Amino acid sequence: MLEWLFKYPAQTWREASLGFENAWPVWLLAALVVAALLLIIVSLRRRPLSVGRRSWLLVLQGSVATIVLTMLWQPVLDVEVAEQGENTVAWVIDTSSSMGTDDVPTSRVAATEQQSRVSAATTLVQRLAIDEQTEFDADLYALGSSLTSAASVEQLTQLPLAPLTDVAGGLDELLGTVGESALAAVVLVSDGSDNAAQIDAQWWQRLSSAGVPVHTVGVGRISRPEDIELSDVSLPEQAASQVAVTATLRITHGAGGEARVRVLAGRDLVAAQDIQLPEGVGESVHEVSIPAGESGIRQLRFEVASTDALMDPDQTNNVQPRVLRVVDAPRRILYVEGEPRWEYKFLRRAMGDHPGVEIVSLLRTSPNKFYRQGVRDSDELADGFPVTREELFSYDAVIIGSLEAAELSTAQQLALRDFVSIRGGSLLMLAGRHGLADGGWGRSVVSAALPVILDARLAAKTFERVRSQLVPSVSGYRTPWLALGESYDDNEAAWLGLPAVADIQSLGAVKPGAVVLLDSIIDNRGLSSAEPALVSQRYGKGQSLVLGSSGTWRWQMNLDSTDQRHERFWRQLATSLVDGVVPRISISASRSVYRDTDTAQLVASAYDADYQPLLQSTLAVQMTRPDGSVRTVELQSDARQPGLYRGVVETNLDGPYTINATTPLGGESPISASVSAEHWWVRESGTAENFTNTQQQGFLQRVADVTGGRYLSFSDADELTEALAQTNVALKREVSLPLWDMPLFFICLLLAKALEWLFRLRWRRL
Amino acid sequence: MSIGLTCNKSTFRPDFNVVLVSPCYTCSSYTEHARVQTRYSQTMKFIARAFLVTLVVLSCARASHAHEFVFARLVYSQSLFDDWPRWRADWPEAETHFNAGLQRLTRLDVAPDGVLMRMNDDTVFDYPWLYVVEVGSMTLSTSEAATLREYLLRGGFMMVDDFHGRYEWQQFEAVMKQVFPNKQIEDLSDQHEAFHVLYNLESREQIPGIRALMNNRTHEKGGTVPRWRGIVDESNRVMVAINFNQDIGDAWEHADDARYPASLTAQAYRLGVNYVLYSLTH
Repeated sequence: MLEWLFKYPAQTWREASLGFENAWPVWLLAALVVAALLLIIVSLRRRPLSVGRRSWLLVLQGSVATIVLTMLWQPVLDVEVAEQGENTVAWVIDTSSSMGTDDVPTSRVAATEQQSRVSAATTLVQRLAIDEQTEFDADLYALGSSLTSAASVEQLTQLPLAPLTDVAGGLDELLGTVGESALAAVVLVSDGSDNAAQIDAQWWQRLSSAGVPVHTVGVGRISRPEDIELSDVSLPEQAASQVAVTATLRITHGAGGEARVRVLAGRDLVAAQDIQLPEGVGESVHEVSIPAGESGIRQLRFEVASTDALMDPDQTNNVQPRVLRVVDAPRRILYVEGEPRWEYKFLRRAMGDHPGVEIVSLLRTSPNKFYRQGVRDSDELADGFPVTREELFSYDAVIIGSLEAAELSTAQQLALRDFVSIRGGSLLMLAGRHGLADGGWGRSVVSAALPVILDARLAAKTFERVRSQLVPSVSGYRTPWLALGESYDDNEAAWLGLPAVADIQSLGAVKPGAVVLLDSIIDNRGLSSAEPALVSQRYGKGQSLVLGSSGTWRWQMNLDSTDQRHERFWRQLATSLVDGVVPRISISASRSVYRDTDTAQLVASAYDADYQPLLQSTLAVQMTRPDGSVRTVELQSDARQPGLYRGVVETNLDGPYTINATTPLGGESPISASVSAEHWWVRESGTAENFTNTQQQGFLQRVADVTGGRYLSFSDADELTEALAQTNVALKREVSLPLWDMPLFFICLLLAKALEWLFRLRWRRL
Repeated sequence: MSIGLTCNKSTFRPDFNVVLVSPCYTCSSYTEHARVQTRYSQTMKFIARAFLVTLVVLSCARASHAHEFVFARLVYSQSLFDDWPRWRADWPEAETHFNAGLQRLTRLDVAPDGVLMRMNDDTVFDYPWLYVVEVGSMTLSTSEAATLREYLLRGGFMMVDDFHGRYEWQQFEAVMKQVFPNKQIEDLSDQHEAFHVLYNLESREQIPGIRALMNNRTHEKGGTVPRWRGIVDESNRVMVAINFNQDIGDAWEHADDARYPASLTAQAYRLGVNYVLYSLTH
């Protein structure tokens, strides 16, 4: 009715601006209206009418005059309209397997009757894009593993459902044609379950900068409370043999309940654990301990199953394969000690049981003899502290005990500093009669790497044998590798219950940026004083730590033999020393499981023996396919990041793939110690669409937001027409829509004259 | 609370031989009165001995954390009828001599004097090195045996010395069964790391006591074959180093005695140094 009265839709009125077609000036219109009103007033004064009656007539006759004059000026609405036949909206329907799920109500009334997502989507597109004529041409596309153009909706419905959804690739392809076609907008009708893993920050940036609004219509249920899905399994890439490995499982579940996790290696059950899925959360994380077993490659299969048989009708998403590489080559820590002492023994004992760490120690037993432990062969450390940088850089961490700096040459001290800053290793310096400031380290180049400013005086005497209690600082209590208990209270009680140490060394001022992790509390005749006892800092690529006591062995001797606090402290410290250490070569694939994907993206980083980025145009690595065939793959250097190499490899066979590289790398001396890196992944077919089978509303919403489009739920899809009219980038021209013949004008004229006639008839003044 | 107990020879040296001198046990003409008298006398001597041991240990007490390595000697109980305190054989010269050598031959920070420790002393765990002499006479109470087991399991090291012959071995073996009911005493091979930590001691001689040596023998009480044995932990590390049919302590004690062969003293020192370094590295 309103649209008839005002001649044009409300949307047109909102977007348009009002103007006059007539070339006469608007002020003349205003002047004529005023003149007409004055004329009416003068003519009415001659009439024998009361003031009230004159006023009524003035209003009515004035209205008629104003309307007529306005119509004479030819009012128009100035609007922009898309060029008919030159603008296109791309209607993209997700035709992946997940769209075959029957979870869309056929109508609002019959909510129990369900239709498939793809059926609902095609019906919607048929209605909005084809049946309802709009100012845009409609191009139809099917989106699965790739983007496919379709001539009609019928053709879309005949396409087989794809095993993969590549929203990123599809939109990239579509938006890449903007320059060639008049693409006004994109409508994506999908459940949003992209599983091609092409989405990264750059893609979002590309999508945003394309300048075409993408309207998204979400189909499918947002949650499936009855379904349990093993969404992800985090497993270390490799583990030392005969240790327990912790796998972190992310399980999506709508409802709570009990479930059982099983880990299989082939047909052998490796681990099983009952877990409780909490109520009220959509997702929970659980840890499962797995024995790593013997060295070699283990293909593991993680399964989760509800103990309630009625739950979880879809069990295709309850399985995740993973590969675990079990190695016998743990990280190596070089421990150099300048004198025999108990801390050496007990530290080695504690760290020696660490499955992922190998302690190689060099102990000066007598003025002219060194004692080596943990060496691989008779040549290792035969000349004492490593003479070459390459030899030193082969270790992952270095511990310096009660050893004078003067025992190392200037070159060795420089190499030790560079071991931290360039190689990215960890350096831990311990207190001792000949350690830290008393050993002259304050005057050494190594002091630059240390987190404290050591006393640099020649006669520095900072080591003393007094009893003190080591307690964590605030930062220390927050440091996971210093935790001796599972909860905060347990941890605090564990630390406060430790026996006192009987020596302490003053560390000096703490450098800016360094973190004090432990304090030593010294009780001096009832007065307590605290000094930093364990300080750490990042230095270059690595980290350095200083421990101001060599008396932690007293924890071991003064606590029950079953108490593991001493061992736990040193093992966790050892882990923190070797974790994050930069390897010479590392290779990784973008995912651990490629589902229905024929390519894998590889990234490798490589350093030479002196830990400078390896500068080559290509890096050759060996890829072993599931059928056992070996191929050499050339990874190309990344021009922006020296030492980084990238490549894409074909993965069209199901099963495990290996990629490895071994030194010497191209152009390197073959004398260099051999270092190798290996990475594994698994390729699977027909499983990608089993995971994340609910509508990914957040993803669809974000796609719409970054492009300036609108996200609509399926039930609100009718608003698409309005959204398309409002938000598009079509080729447009400006048109003036005439308003002089607007029905409202004529109705108002008739009404005014009719009222005047009625008044006069009533006043008997016709 | 005492932290460590050190007895310095120059400050206090009770003469046990005067107080606890042993009378003749084998006289066959004792009357009943004499037997009662003898039993009374022995009991009194035991009480006096216990009192004096306590007195010497307490009176010599002083903190001993000024050095990394402190030579701790175990003061143990023994048979009521054995009135000479066996634990003090060669004390204190053995350790003072040995400590000086240890300080000179290694980079170790050694306390010049040793300490005397009882197994039921809380501070025994501050001394991971323990020397026990004449263990053929040693007895341990149940709590002392448990403490010794705990001491060794935590990482403590015990060197036993100066016991000879079958009877003394059986006594020592019985005591160790009390400590570790399921552990076996095993021979240490010539290639064992304890004999190579600093000095290569593949070939070793029997180290005799000086009295045997003065009698032109290298053995005592029928113990003609020297044995180097040990008790190892779960990781095959020696916890107890056993020198059977030998008297290493005598060789240390008489290092300054011209009558004692320098070659044997040298071997005793080297063996002791190796044991100490082994205990500090394994």
